[in-house]
Amino acid sequence: MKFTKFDIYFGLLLAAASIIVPLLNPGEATIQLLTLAAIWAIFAVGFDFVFGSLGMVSFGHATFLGVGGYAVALATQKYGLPFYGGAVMAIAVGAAFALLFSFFALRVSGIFFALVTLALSQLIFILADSKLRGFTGGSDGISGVERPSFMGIDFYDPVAYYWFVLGVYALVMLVVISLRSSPFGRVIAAIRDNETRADQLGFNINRYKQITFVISGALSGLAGALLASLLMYMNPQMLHWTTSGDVIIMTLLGGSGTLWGATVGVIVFEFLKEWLSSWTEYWYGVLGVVFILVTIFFPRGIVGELEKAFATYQKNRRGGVQ
Amino acid sequence: MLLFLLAAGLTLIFGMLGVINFAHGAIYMLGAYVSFETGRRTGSFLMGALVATLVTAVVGAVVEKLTLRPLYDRPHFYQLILTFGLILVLGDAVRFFWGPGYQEVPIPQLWSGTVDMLGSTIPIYRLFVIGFGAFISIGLYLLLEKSTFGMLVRAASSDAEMVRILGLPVGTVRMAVFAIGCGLSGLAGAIAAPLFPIELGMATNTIIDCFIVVILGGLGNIRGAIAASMLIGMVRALGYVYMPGWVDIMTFVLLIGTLLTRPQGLFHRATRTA
Amino acid sequence: MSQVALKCDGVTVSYGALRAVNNVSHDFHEGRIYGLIGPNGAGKTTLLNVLAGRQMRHDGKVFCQGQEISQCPAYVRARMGIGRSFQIIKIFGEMTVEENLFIAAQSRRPGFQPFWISSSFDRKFREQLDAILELTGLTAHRDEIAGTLPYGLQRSLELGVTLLPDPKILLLDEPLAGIGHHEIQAALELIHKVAQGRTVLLIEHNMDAVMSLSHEIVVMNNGSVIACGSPESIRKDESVRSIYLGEDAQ
Repeated sequence: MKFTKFDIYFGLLLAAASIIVPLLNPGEATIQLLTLAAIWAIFAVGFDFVFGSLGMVSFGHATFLGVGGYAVALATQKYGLPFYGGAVMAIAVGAAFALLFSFFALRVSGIFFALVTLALSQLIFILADSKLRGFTGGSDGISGVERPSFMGIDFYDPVAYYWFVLGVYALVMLVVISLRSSPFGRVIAAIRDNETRADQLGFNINRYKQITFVISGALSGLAGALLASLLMYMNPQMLHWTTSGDVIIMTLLGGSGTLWGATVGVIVFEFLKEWLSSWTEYWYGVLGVVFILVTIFFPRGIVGELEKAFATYQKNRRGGVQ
Repeated sequence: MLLFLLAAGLTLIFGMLGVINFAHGAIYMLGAYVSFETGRRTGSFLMGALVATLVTAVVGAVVEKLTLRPLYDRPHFYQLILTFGLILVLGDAVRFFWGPGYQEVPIPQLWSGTVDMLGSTIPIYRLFVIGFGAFISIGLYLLLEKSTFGMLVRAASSDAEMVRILGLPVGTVRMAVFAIGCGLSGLAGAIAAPLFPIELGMATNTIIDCFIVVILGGLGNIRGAIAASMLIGMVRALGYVYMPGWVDIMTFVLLIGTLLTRPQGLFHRATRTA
Repeated sequence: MSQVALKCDGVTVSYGALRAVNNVSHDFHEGRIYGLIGPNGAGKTTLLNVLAGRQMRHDGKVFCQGQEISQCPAYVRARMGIGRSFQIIKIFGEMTVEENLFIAAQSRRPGFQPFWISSSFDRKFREQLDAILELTGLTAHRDEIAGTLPYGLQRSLELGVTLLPDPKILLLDEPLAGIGHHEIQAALELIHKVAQGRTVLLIEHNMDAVMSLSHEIVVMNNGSVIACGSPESIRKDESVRSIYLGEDAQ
């Protein structure tokens, strides 16, 4: 996948904003919000890895987020591991569940793929809420999830944790960028473009889809770990299918398939939510309306439309030179 | 049978329009609340059911016209996600009018009480629900198989372009089908209202069950939906007696199994059934 | 007597009561060009799909270089050296011509590791890529988006993408479809050049083209092979003429 000037400019803009804003001392609530946004951005980027690049609608990503959260919660609470141990487990568990789901879901396509992931995800949710209560604490959840610790920095300080999360996000984006520009990324783009041709050329389509799904699950698991650590609490709600729905909304809002779309979608969603909830308690409904309008009128999402506008602007500027 | 009423609308919408309506549970919830409100003001359960059906049908028509229609040319998941967005809107709309708590609707006088049948005591209202469900399914069957409208619907679902070329109002037919599907859901909500407490969680809790029935019965297959809802009903009933903690899990395993092995449904026939 | 590159044995494809391909057995020898002809609906493309691995539900067996491949999916067959072009052009419309070919090249990398490419591989395939560009006349268009190319050039790219992995066996489904009258000669020459040293199975409706290209003609009708032989003998064959009666007999 090629990277355009737009990608670079926009990325720089995001980087600048994410660094400058916290330095302006905006208060703990805003820092908390920014941290939440960064975590959800990792989740959304993980989700879009499958949705944006391969067009597979997964309603199961809440599971990967949730098991990541539980992994770190259990690792730190029940097994006495430090945060890192938990985070590594979260990535592994997210990947494992994604692999498991892919065995089932990749047998079918289109709407059935979405429904299988939904069913599997809801099954996990029910199990976490009921049968595995001993493990998960049921709907009461697990509290006291730890924060990371190194170099003597107190990551219970919201600002410190924000920088940590931002660092992880930057790392995630680096991973995603290198994957996208790698031969692997090129094959994924080819599969999206013309799956039959890619198949006939000798690419094991199923294997590529599976790998993509597993990477997506790993990233989601990581996000889950960070989220549990932020909230210092973990409960089954993260696993509910509406969480999967939320990430789909955010991704579409921002522009799926683009480099920065998922991130922007999260930011817009979270900030809209903050702003709307200050003057109405029905912000979820209003967000729903906004989302519906964007879906109808801006199918490419915010970043997608901006990219298009930028490309048109560039073309016009070159105008006569053809 | 209640499940059937809900599922019938969903399977109808999918079968004829190719849209999976995630908001179906939300419409059901809306129907329940509207019937509650109407019942509270008029004192009549019948009025409540009627108004609920009408209101939800109208909402369905409006939704189809304004939001789904622009998306028909796009890949399927856009419509899917849009209906998810609808859940959010409807959820908060209901909360706006009725608040977050739950409401109760009394069982209408006519069908209250119980009767002793087949060795157990059965509430009359439940019998009514079963009978009503049967009545609706016959009505739907007649509508779709025997009426001109039904013919139009079936034609439009297999070849919309052709129908449009023939000068027939595909758009209106689509809107009508969606409205009927939603109306059925709203009616289900009104009928269900006396049986369960009405609350906001209805929207998301019921949709999964709906999907299960619709998938097992075959997307678009009304007769399949009947069979599937009865199957689920039985599985549930037996499950609650013998393995209470496992009922939900069992139904999901059944769903996943069906999706993987016979995605066209357990009751699929080679010929197209309405 | 040359080796049998590709062989099908008793292949039958049924859709309910309809037999799209009915008990077809044939040996395709190495280095020969086979023209597969027949009226629409004769089962030619379905047979090709069985050979290419896109039609997995069938009775009978398929062999490649003596090895049975009946259950091998398309991508495995591709790696065994079977290349296939499609009647409806399947190229990567959103990528440039060069990128299209590079994906084709990438498919030949040994092993599965897809995350980076060694520079020696890179160099080797860039040479092949340039050669294919030259062969198909697309050098001047290498940076254009494939989907924006005129139809004739897209056809050339379709062929180029099929060729780049250097398949020993070529299955071409109507490679001349939609090509304008004045471009046919050039396209024919290209196919002829490309067929050298390879085993080719070619479906075409253009009778002159197929007769001039092929060593052997296989005629299908209603799912069965009703005749096969040299182009001259097929031209004179009564049963073949009769099934084309009413169509443009050339």
